[in-house]
Amino acid sequence: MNEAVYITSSWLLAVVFALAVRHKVTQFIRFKATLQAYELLPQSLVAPAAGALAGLELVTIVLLVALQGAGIVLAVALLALYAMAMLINMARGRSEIDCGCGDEPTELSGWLLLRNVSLIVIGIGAWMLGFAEITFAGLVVGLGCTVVAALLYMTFEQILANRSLHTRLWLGEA
Amino acid sequence: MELLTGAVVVLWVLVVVLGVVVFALARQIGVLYERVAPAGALMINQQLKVGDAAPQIGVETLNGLEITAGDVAGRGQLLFFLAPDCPICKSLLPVLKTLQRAEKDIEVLLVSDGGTLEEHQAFVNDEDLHQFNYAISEIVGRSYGVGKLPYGVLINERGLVASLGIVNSREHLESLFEAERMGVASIQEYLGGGSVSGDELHYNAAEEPAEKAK
Repeated sequence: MNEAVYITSSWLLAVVFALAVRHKVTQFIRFKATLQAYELLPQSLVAPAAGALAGLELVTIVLLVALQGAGIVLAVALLALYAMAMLINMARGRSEIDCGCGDEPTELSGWLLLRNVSLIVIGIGAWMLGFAEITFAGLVVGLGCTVVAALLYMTFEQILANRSLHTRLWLGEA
Repeated sequence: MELLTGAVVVLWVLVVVLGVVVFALARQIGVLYERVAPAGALMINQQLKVGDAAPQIGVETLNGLEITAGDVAGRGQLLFFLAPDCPICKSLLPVLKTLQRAEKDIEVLLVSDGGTLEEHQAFVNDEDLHQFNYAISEIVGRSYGVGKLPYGVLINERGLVASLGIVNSREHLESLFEAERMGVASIQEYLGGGSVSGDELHYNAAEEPAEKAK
């Protein structure tokens, strides 16, 4: 039973990062600009930090797919880092900046924080639970759960993006 | 037991299929928002209409050149309003560079405001914008009714506003030129105006300010 939970959590986080890193790599210019807009780093550090984050995410994905505990630790650390960055900018009253989630520019909101916190809870839960051995049944159930969880996550992201899209294109307020 | 296994498998398949359906529906809503109506640069402007004479405002560019926004001298002018800290603006810079090479009759003037001179200078150097005239002026933005960035105003060779709007993508930028060619104020107006006859497609917005029955 434990291994199914662990597999689902790890692979779900892997999907989350895979979706995120795609934009960071294909639209690196925009990712750098987004990072700069967060106003947390001096100009000279933005480009190296952007590269480092993208690289770190790739490493995290590999570790998570291989079900390594280090992958979960890295994933939780990155999610916490992003949540902090968003929180700081929301506290500064700059929630209109693009979150950097890719595709549709999405403004910072409590929903994104909730998303990150939920993923962190899932990661920590799985890490604490651990697993004894991988069984075939566990793998099958884990895979099924991952697919469904990933679809739900994508739906959540899509609905958030739709909200921004509607505001920006129809109301012209973004 | 056999039955139970079968039932679980069927349920799994159903859950996955439902997950796909829900995601697809959410995606469809996004696609509808994107494609159905405002496919072009969004026009929200209380100050200017298509066909109005473009306000002429003297500005000094970063490299000390005295030029006039709105003064086209026989060429078209694209005023592109941007800011160094606007990610979408940055992602459009390559498109602007291509555009300037492709549209020889159009002079591109970048207009920004706020920030320090050093920030703008660094922005121009980092993004290699030396080929453009880059002016820092709050008055130009205000006179052209610019609220949100990135914003584009296309002025035709007679000094009249040909099209204008918020520009979020390559398609939006191109839509400004498309709107000028078609003689409509914005793509929304074209879409909102119902069927457009061949005559309407070719009439000139500059001579006849576009005020279609809504």
